Amino acid sequence: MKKQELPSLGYRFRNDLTTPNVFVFETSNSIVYEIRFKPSGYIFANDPDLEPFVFEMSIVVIDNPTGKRPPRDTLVPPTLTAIFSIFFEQHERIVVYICDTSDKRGEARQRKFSSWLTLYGGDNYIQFNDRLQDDSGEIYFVSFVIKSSNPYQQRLIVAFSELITANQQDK
Amino acid sequence: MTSEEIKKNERRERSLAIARRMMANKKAAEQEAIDEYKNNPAKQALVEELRRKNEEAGTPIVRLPIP
Repeated sequence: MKKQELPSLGYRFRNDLTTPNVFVFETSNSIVYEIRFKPSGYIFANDPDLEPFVFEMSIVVIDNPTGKRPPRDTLVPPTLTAIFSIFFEQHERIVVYICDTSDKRGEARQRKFSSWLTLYGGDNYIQFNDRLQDDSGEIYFVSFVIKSSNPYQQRLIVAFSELITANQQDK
Repeated sequence: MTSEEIKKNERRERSLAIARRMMANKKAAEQEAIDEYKNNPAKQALVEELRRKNEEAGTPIVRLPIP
């Protein structure tokens, strides 16, 4: 397996070149995270030019020997931002992140995601955070991140706002 | 219902369908990542090597971005 070691701002992380866009790191509590960016062109299917650049992000605890919910760890956000800086070397890319709501902490997750990206990413990224709600009351917290140098910036903003406002108009 | 309202409803349903699909994809990706780590010795070796390097290097230092 061919591997590449990457510079780290926070925890040291690696990606596996046989599985593109997958990164792993281990915290000082021995919790192993995987950050996965999966191609997801269907999200902006109305604008086919954008399709190759859209990725859904998952932040997954793949090993947790503590058996408890991972504690707050100040090294995780800069690690994620360092991974972002590698992933966004292709400036046209778009990351869409939907927060897990199964434990009713979706809104808090979205807030946390937004704040660390602002703190560590600075002006390098543009982010939009919004929500969709269905008739049963289920809420989907959706975030969208692009590089501030993204050449499709205006089109992406329109595509994302169409996705969200379509839901909000009747609410 | 007017044609404008029908269009709005269709757009809303399309948005919700995308959100539901994203949530389903997220759960599938999470399970896939966990299973892959359990069953893929190459991935376990990758983490083990990372662990060894962390032990050698000691506690990482966070460098805050320059404002």
